[in-house]
Amino acid sequence: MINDDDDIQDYVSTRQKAMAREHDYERILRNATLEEVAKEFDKMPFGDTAASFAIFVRNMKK
Amino acid sequence: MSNNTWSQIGAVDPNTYTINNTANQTLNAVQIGAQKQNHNIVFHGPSGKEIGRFDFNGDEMKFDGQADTSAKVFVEWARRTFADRALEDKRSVLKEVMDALVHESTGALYEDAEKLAILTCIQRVREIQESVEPAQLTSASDYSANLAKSMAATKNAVATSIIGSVFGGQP
Repeated sequence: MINDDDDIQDYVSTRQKAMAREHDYERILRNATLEEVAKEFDKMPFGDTAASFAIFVRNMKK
Repeated sequence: MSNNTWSQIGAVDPNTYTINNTANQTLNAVQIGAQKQNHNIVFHGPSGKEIGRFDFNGDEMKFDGQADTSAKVFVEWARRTFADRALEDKRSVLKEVMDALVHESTGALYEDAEKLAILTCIQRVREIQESVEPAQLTSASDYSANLAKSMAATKNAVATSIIGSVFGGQP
């Protein structure tokens, strides 16, 4: 439509940016939680087993 | 204020958002009704009474009431909502970690020392989970009783794990 001044691209773009920020927030929180757990495992005096679990948990990061 | 608008706690007004004082820790959020142009956001103070109201029904948005107190109620509600969301997300990730650890350690043949390490890792994750569980206590005496129970249960679980790991379940 020639006279249609609704800018749907702007709306969609804003929505996509909001969803991307939401996704970033979830990813950051997830990775921080996993790092917190991994660091707890790092502190444990169990050598390779705890270390391998720390690696396992860090590999769950996105 | 419109005669059609009402916002008591527990009442159902499809056009009104009610943000209660944080003592109530609740938000009565309901959908905007399509059939009635009567939109409001209402803030409740410590006594449960209305202390402020955004009115979106006219040509321009209006606010009536105590702006400062209403702002504090809103800010505390937003802060609490965000914190609750973050904790919920953290609980979800920790559950995923716990499930993965249990899955990884189930069925495999481990040395006794490895068993001890695995159980201690799982126990540590459980402690982190407990630290972010929502509080459901109603009084100081309940808190004390639950804390004592939790400490006794943890002590028993750790002792059992260590004994089981070291002696293979044959103390």
